[in-house]
Amino acid sequence: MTGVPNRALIVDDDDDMRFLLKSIIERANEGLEVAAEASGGDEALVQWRALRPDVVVLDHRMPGTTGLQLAEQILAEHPTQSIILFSAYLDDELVARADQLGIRACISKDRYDDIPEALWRYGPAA
Amino acid sequence: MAVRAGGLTARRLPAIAVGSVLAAGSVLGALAVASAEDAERRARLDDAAEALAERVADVVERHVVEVERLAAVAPSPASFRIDALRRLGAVDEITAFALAERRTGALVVVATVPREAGVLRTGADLAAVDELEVIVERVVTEADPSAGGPVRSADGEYITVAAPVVADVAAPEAARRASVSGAVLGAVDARRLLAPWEGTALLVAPDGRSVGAIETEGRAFRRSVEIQGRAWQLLLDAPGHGWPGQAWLVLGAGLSAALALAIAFHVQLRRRHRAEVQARERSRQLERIADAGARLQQSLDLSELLPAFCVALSTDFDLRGVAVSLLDEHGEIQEAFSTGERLPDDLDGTASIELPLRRGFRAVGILSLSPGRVLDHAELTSLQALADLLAVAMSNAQLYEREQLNAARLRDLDALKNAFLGTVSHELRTSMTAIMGFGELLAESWDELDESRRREMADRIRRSAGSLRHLVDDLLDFARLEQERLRVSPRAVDLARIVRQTVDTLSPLLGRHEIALSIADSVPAHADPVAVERILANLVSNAAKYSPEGTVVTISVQPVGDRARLVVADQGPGIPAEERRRIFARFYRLETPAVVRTRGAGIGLAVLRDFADRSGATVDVDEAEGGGARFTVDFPTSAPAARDDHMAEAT
Repeated sequence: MTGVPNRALIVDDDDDMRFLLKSIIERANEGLEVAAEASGGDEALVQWRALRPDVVVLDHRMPGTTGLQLAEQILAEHPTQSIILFSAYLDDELVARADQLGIRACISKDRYDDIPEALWRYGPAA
Repeated sequence: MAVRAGGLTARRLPAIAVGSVLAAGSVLGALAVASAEDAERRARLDDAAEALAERVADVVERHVVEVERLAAVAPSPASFRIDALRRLGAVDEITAFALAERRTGALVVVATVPREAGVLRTGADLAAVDELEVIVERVVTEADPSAGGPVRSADGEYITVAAPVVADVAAPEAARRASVSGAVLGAVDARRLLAPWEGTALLVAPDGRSVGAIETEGRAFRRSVEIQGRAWQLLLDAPGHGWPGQAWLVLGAGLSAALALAIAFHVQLRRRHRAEVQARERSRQLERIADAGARLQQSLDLSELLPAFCVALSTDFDLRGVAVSLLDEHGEIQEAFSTGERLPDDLDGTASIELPLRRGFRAVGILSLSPGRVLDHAELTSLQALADLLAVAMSNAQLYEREQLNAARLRDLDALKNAFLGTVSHELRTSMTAIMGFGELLAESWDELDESRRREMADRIRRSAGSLRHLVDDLLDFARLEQERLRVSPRAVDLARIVRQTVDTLSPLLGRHEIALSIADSVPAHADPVAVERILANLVSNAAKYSPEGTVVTISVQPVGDRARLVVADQGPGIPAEERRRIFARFYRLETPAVVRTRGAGIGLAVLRDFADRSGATVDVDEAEGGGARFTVDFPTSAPAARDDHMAEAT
């Protein structure tokens, strides 16, 4: 899979989290790249429409639009968009709703190391 | 309540029927008694009449025999007198004898016994006595004894019996007729003769003359009496004939009994009818109460309950207006609901009625009724019972409302708690993730990272750790304050010094904010240094969180009157006025974007408030110059009164 560009959009209201994800993704390299970052839903939608990233990494708990609401909007426009929910607080209900919407994976924030692998799995070859 | 007249008449009918039957029975009874009596009396009268007829015939015949005997044996006045006297003693009804001699065609009385016996006076010419003319004629011409012609004299009425005085009684008829020389006459007392008859009696001689008297109002008996071969008539009358007294008695008693019975029966019927009406009314009232009770059970919502109750009450009891007023928390009567019209208080007997709505021994409201008519006792009793039911239902409804509020509050609290747990988990994990993630990156990729990257990551680790520590401090404080295990011990301190020392340790919380200090040299206060540190840390952390990076957070400590004042102001969006009271509540977080974007568990200000309260300080929030938030904490400068101190120590 190396060589296939895999562009991710990172959406998180917490600056530390965006920076951490970006650092981890860049370290993993191997075709992974952070196409853009967004700190809220509106900004994310604009970025997503402009860049059409391969994978969207979404925080759930954000001011204004939540991750799930944003995912719903994105999937309504582009049902096959790969989305990964990256949240600090995942409960069964949230996971079930994410699954229902068509989100590919839910990853807890303490499992930040799993992000590169998830990006490969749900990236353009998927 | 209206009693139908038809019903009452129908009730009376049996009484009238029974009375009528009794009356008719008593009449029939009386008739039967009278009829039986009548038959018996008739038979008795028949017997008496027969006996009288026999007696009349017998007595008169016997006296005829007496006068015959006198005529035969006593032709001379002297012997006549002796014999006559003897015979007067022997017979009852004969009252007088007279001996008459035939002198020149006339019969002249020559001797009488007793002397001067009525018309039979010595010297009297019998032929000249009208009443005796016929009998004397017959005795003289036919030479046979005879009876007849009642004679009325001043002292009585008499039947005359007469016998001829002849020379030879045994001689043939013609010879006897020729030899009649005189006659012996007897006067039979007619009254004594007829005396056995109770009524009036009339004895009619064959010549039509009569003796006695008769009244025709009674029942007449006629008997034929044969005396000396000639028919006399005996006419009798039963006196006082008609209904016998016993029949009247029976009739009277019967009718009285019938009347009494009818009255008693009627009274009893009326009483029973009244009891039935009362029982029906009572049962109807009970039904109403039961209905209303059921209706009151149907809802616990006062806004549904009162209209349903009032409307039903006004319909059930035919009231023109119903209103319910309740005592509010200030003890003022407030109308809660009313239906129909409200009549003026004074409308002769139909005045509006106010029934208390009782709970225990106190009134919690008033049920006002405008009946528009007079209510009877039973209705009033029912209405009061309903008022009591309403009071209970209202009490239940209010209790339910309070419970609902409590439940809602608990639900809210539960939601807040869940949100709090979610927030705390999120905050802890985010900070932990940042620390671990950057730590790991630094450890594993140290050589690949340039210096600035490494510095940046280290800085982020420090800030995340600082915010983590602050969160954990808040949580611990919160838990300890909740469990009353955190002791705040205010003492005389220099607030300025404590604040200056604390500010230095707050840099991780301040991030990229500038800080401006305005602290007096020395500000004496009565406070616990730990509480001051926690209060300041919370205020600074808040200011840094909710105001943009690069803006200034101002901290000022100044003495103000008898207070030592700590003020922390920021240049953020501020706190909406309507939210300023609520921000100190546990778990409460504003929904503004600035708040949502930041990490926080919603306990910082609650902890701050708790510390301030226990230090005897007051916390206030208002708007800073430029629209940011400004928190003002006023500490006391000296220990409060001994009692309060003791209280503070106790906590």
